[in-house]
Parts: sequence; C-alpha cells; structure tokens
Amino acid sequence: MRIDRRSFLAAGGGVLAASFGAGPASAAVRLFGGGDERDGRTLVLVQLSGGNDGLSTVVPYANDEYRRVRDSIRLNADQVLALDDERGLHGELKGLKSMYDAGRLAIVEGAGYPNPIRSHFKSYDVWHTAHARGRAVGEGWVPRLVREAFPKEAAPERMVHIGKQVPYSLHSPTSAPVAFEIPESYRWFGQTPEASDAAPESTGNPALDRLRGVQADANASSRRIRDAARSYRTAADYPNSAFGRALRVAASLIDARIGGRVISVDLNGFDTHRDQRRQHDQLMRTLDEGLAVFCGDLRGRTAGDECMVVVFSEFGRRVAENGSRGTDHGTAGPMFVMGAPVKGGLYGEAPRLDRLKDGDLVHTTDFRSVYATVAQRWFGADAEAVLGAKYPLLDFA
Amino acid sequence: MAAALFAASQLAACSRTAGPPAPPAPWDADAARHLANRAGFGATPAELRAAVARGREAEVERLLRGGRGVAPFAIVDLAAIREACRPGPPEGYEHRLRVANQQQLRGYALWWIDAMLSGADPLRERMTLFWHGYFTTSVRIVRHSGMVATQHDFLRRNALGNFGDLLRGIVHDPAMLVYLDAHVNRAGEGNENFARELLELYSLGEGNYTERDVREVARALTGLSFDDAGRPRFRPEHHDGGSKTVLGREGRFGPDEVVALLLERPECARHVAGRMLAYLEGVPPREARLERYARLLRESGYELDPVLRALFLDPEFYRDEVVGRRQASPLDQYLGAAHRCRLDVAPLELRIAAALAGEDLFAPPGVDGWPRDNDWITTSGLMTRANHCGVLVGALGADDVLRMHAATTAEIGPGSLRGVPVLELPPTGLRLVMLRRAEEWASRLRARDAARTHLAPRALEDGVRDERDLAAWVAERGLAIRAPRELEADWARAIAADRRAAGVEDSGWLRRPAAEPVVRRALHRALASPAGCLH
Repeated sequence: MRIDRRSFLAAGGGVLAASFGAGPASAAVRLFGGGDERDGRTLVLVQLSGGNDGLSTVVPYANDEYRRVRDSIRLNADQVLALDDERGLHGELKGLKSMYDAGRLAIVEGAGYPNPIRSHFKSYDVWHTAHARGRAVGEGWVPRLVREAFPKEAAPERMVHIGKQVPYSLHSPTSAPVAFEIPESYRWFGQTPEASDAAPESTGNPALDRLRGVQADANASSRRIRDAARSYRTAADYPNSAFGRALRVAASLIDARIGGRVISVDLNGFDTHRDQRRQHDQLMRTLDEGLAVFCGDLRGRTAGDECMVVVFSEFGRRVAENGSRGTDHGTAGPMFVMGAPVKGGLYGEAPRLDRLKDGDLVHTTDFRSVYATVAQRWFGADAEAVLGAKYPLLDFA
Repeated sequence: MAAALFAASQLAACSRTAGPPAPPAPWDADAARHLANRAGFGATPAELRAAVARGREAEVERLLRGGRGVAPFAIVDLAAIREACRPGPPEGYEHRLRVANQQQLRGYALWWIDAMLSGADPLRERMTLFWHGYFTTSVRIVRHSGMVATQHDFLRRNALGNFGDLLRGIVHDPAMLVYLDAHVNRAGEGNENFARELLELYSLGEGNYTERDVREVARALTGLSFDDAGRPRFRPEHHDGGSKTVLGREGRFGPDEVVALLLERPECARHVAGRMLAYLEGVPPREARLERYARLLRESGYELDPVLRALFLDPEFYRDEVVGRRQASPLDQYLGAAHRCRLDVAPLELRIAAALAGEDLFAPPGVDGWPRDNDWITTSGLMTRANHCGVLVGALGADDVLRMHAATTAEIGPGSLRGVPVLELPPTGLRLVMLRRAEEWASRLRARDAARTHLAPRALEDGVRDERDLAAWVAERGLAIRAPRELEADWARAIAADRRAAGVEDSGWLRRPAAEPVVRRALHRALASPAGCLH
C-alpha cells in the first residue's frame, strides 16, 4: 500500500509535521524521497514588482543615518512594529508581525547579489534565472527546481502564474506556463479546439509546435483550474484587490491538490520615484492584508503544512531619498519566507548604512541562498543542480 | 533624391562588407505574405498577387514611400480641454476633465486603429506601433490625453524618419517627462527615473553606462518641463548648470548635449538596430548581422529608411527561422484577420479586444512596453485570443463576451458562507476598466448583430464549393502563415460534420442561411488554432 503524505498527516503525523524545518532533508522529505508524486508541497512566490524599498519595509528606525537621509519619507518609531530596538516592520505589516511573533515568518535581511543591476528588467532576469547571465541561460529557475524535485511530474499546472505578466522565472523553452487571471474566464468559448489526429508530432515550424503544446496544456488545465476555484469553500475574508483575489485562487489550487508545485503571484507599483510614502504605505497594507488572510486560511488545512511563501523584489531602493519625496533604484532588500514549515526569525544580516557603495546598500545574503534552502530543505532537491552553483543554506527550513 | 542616392551607396557598402552574398530568396506569394505581415498587418490574396507582380524592390519602395495617408486628428491641448470643462458646477470639474480626457484619447485610439485597418500606409503604422512600445508612455500615469496624443503624433510623423530626431524630440516630450518624473527632476532635487531609462531603454542599453553616468545625466536633464498648454518648456531656474561628466566627457551639459553624446556612441546604434531587427524578425539578430545594421544606421546619420530598405531586401529576412514564426501581438492577429477576411468590424471592437488580451494602446504594462519577441502567449493568452476571434467573425455573441470577461458574477469571492458565494463586491481598478470595456463591446455587438458581415457569400464569391474548398479558404483568409496541409484535412472533416448537423449538404448549400454559422465556425476554428497566433 502506498501511503501519501496527506493521509499520513491526517492520521496523526503531528510529530512528523513538527519535524518540518528541523534541519537538512527533514524527515518527511527523506521518508518520501523528495520525489514523491503524491505529497502536496507547494511554493508560493510573491513578487513585489518595481523595486520595493527595503528600508521602508524592515525599517532601521533608530538609526541616525537613516533618519538623516530619509528626511521626508522616513518612518518614525511610532510608525513601525518594532522587532527589536534597532529595526521594525512597516506599521502596516500587522499580520506579518503576528506571524513573526508566532515564529512562522523568517525575515532574510540584506538579500541581493554581487554587482547589482539597477535596471528593473535586467535585475529581474537575475532573480528569475538565479544567474548573473540572466536570460542568456534560456530558462527560469522554477522549471529547473520542479524538474529536480519532481522529475516524474508532468502536469501543466505544476507551475502556475495568477495575474497578467508572467515572470521569466517560470519560463521554459519547452512549454509555456499555465497563466490566467480569472479562473472562470480560463476556458474556450464556442468550440474547444481539438488536437489534430492527423497532425504529425512536428510541423517543421518550431514556433507552431510550441504553441500546439501550449494549446494542449491549456486544454488539459482549464477544467481542473476552474473546478478547483469554483469548489473552494473558505470562511477566510480575502480583500477585494487583484492581489487578494489571486491569493484566494492560489489557496483553492493548493487545497484541491491539482499538482501545483510553484504558484506565482505579483503585486505591482513599487517603483516609487515620487511621493513614495502614500503609495508605499498602501502597498504594504495590501501585501499584509492579502498574506495574512492567505496564511490564516491555509493554517487550518492540511495544505497549510505544505505551503511555503517567499516574497521578493528585483531590488531595494537608494538609501537617500531623491528630490521628489521618492527613491531611485537601489540594491539589496529584505525577503520574507513564511508558512507553517518555516522556522521564523531574523536571518542574514542587516545591511550597514555606514558602509554604502555608490550610495547603495551592500548585500549581506545572496538571494540564491534562499532559493537553495527552499530547493534543498523544503523540496529535497539537489540545490546545486537547480541553481548551477553552491550557496550556503539558511536555517529557516 | 540625394537621400535615395545616399541610401543606395550605403546598401552597396553594406553588401560589400557582408561577406559572400546570401543566395537571393525567391519573390513569391510566401515572401510577399511575410513582408506584408511584418512591414504591415497582412495582405489579402489579391494584394499578394499584386505585390508579386510588382517585384520585391518595387514593393519595398511602395511601402517606404507610404500611401495617401489619412486625414489628421485635431488634438485638443491641455489648456483648451481645461477651458472646455470649466463651465458647470466647480465640484464637478475634475470629473468633467477626466471624462473629456478619456473621450479624446478614445477618439484618437480609434482614429489610429482605423488608419491601421485602412492599409493606407502600413509600414508607417507598423513602425509607429513599434516606437509606441519603444518610447513607452502610459496614459494611466500621464493622464492628459492631449499630451499622450501629441507624443504619439510625433512618433507617427517620425516613424520612418530619423532616430536622432526621435531621441532629440522625446527628451522634451511632456508626456514622457510626466511618465518618468523628469519634470520634477530639478537642481538640488534630483530624480533619476528618466535618466536611467533614457540610457537603458532608449539609447545605449544596459551595461553600456555607469551608475555615475545615470546620476550625471539626471543632473543634465534638470529643467525639462512644459507650460500650461502642455507644450515643452525648458525652465532654466531649475536647471543644474554645473559641470558634469557623462560617458567620460566633461562639460556644462544640458539635455540636448546629452542626447548628442548618446547618439555619438556606437552602442546607441547597436541598441536601436537590435530592437528594430528583433521586432521585425521576431528573433534577436546574431552578432555579425547586428553589427552590419548598426553600422548602416550610424553611417546614415540615424536615418531609418536605409535600414528598413536593407532589411526588407535582405535574403536573411526571408530565412526559415524568421518566416511564420513570430508570435503576433493581439492587435497583429486581429487586424490581420479583419483585413484578410474583410470582416465588418469597427475600430472600437478591435481596440477593446486587444486591450482585453493585454495590448491596451497608450497603456502598456510597464516601462519596457509590451511583451517582446515570443513572450506573448500563455495558456490563457491563447484562449483569450481564440475566444476574441470567435467574436470578431461572429461565431460568438454579446453574451459570450460578457461571460468571457465576467469579473464578479461567475467568480466565488471572499467570505463565501457555508459554501454559498455571497460576494457581490463591485470590481475595482483596472478590472473595472476591463469589465466596462467588455460591456461596451457586448452592447456594440447587440446593436449591430443584424448588419454583420455575411461570410458565406464571400466564400461563394471566392469559388468555394465544398468543405475542402472552405477549409482551404479559411486557411488562406484566416491565417497569416501557410497552414500545414494536415490541418486543412482536419478542418474539412469538421466542416463536413457541421454541414451535416446544420442540414446543408446539398450543392447549393452556401446560398442557404444555415450555411452562415457553418462558415463562421470554420473561420473561428482556423483563427483559434495555434497557427492563428503566428505571422
């Protein structure tokens, strides 16, 4: 008899669940070989598009230099949720703060990479491919992760983006990601194009062959996605924002166990060159409301033990504010990792405000250490094979 | 005349340095179709025959020369639009202004789509669409319709002109200044947003400048602004007149000097040529070819005409890797189908359909414009386009449009109670905009359903008799590329089944009213196929 992780946990695998995050290749991962087709381990990637201001997210509120160079946009002690007497979370991040207090939120400070690029697109390429060469690699890091961790899985829904712009992290030369915004609209109207019986494997036009693959994936996933979203029952009160809705759909896919391994969502608007405070405060509120409800919704479910969330942005912003009460493009910033399997706390090292390079923070943790930890400790995959290089693991998982 | 001679000598120089000449590609219907797809928005079989008869050189010259053009759009500027909105209760002023701006931009967008549909000047419209993505500006941020339309008019007039003129103009362009915060970049109150994108996206490309260059260029760009009418105006009182070091050169540079410095750099010509080739061919050029085109651009003083001419005459433009392998943008796809099938669709429908599929004119999703190269299609992207094509050919109707884009009714929202969806929250933000568009499209369809094109008579006119003819007809009219033979066989079988179901199996079937849905369905099937997304 084959025992799947879900029934195992339901049958009182509490000890096992507790051992999650207990170190390298946790018990569950070992038990199920890291490649078991039936467990529901899922990674949710939350992208803060536009370059999130890290110093307004994890705020060095007591730092004199911070106060000096952020004269008009700084957050004061009474506007942050103190983590200790040096730093605090942005005041809107109330839900994240309680997750932190409960030990379910890991904050990785000073995440970045060497020779930082301040172009949105090129910096994204680095984050999305986990490689300095960016798109020259030809593939995002997510397909590599899924391939290494679940070599036998082939469902198109193993990688899903919910939203408009699909990040390159999900890009694969051989297939297009399952991507949609509204589940109910994720269907054909009129007639469902059917795969041709007569058509050969290859038409001699690679672009056409690829699109035929996309069509087959669309056909295969359409009903499963819609059924999952439609049949989801929850008491959780998701906010009526694009971000909130996307997270709700993510929760429904995770709960329905349709085989999603990585689910990507994004929150836009972080390119705050002008009048930053108002916009950024609002964004923090949207982020917090969404993630708090999402994590709370999952907590009561089996799926909650199986879902890890990673929040990232393409870069932080310049330490000193600019002349328009905004900030220009910068470098390092914090990442968040959360969920039941996460060992909360502060990781990495706060970037020094008194040791800037070109007016920018110097990163203290390579973001690929977060990827590597997720790959190795959470998915039981060979992180080096996924990332093409070795990165020190962190202890949040 | 002098320009033409110059271009010809450049071409000669170009072929001298290009190594052994590639064998000339045949000039047949396939080649003519490819040129029409990329230099414009597709061609009907009759237009292809005319192009083949004309010869490649003559066809390229015809495209470059342009056509009769379209009647210009009279743009109402910022001051005039404010003045027009003044009468009435003061508390309603902002609302009136917003509505007036929406109306003007919508009028302008429809005017442009009409120009694209007309086929009067296809290459100009194609390149305008390219520059609109290259020098991105979004009305969602700029807000003033007059500014956005004026910028677009500038891009359109210079679309086939000179890149130097484009760059020199765009640096003073009010819509661009607002979009990238350049009007608030002042001496002592710097804002690097525009400086960085000017270097990265508009001229040199990432990696060809330093962080110091970004800062110094930002200083040089201080003082750029506009007046109450939304016309460019330089404000010396906000300009940082000090010395700057840009790209290794020192001086008291202002905006125009910076542009001159950028244009001097070989990286600039490489960046522009690379973007043009990647757009028109669908794949980024290889090094030797990129360098050849970059040099052509540089040596012609950034004239675009010689580059486009050389490209369209270049046998490599017609190579297998390029022909029929570019993912059409939604607008490419819809415009092409509408033109080839002579669909009776209004510009408004095309605008809405493209916007709902992610190509919202004047509101690109980000600073680098729309998705590039072959990044357009996702699983849902493929479905959305297929569904929209069904509406455009009349196989689907108003109710389908509403269901396709239903924002709340079909979706179970937050706070469902004991499994019963209780959410009736109105959609917000962008979603609301899109829902409104779907509603507008649906009401438009309801109003004109009776007057819809009758495709069956057209097929009959074109000599269609049986399902095999009809399958060939929808392939030729519907698709921008030559369809694989096997597809046509499949389609013929499906059409035969539809005919049986509709009870129109006699020889005069295409004259029967019941044939119309069969033809629409057949055309929808072709357009909805993966081949329908390529051009």
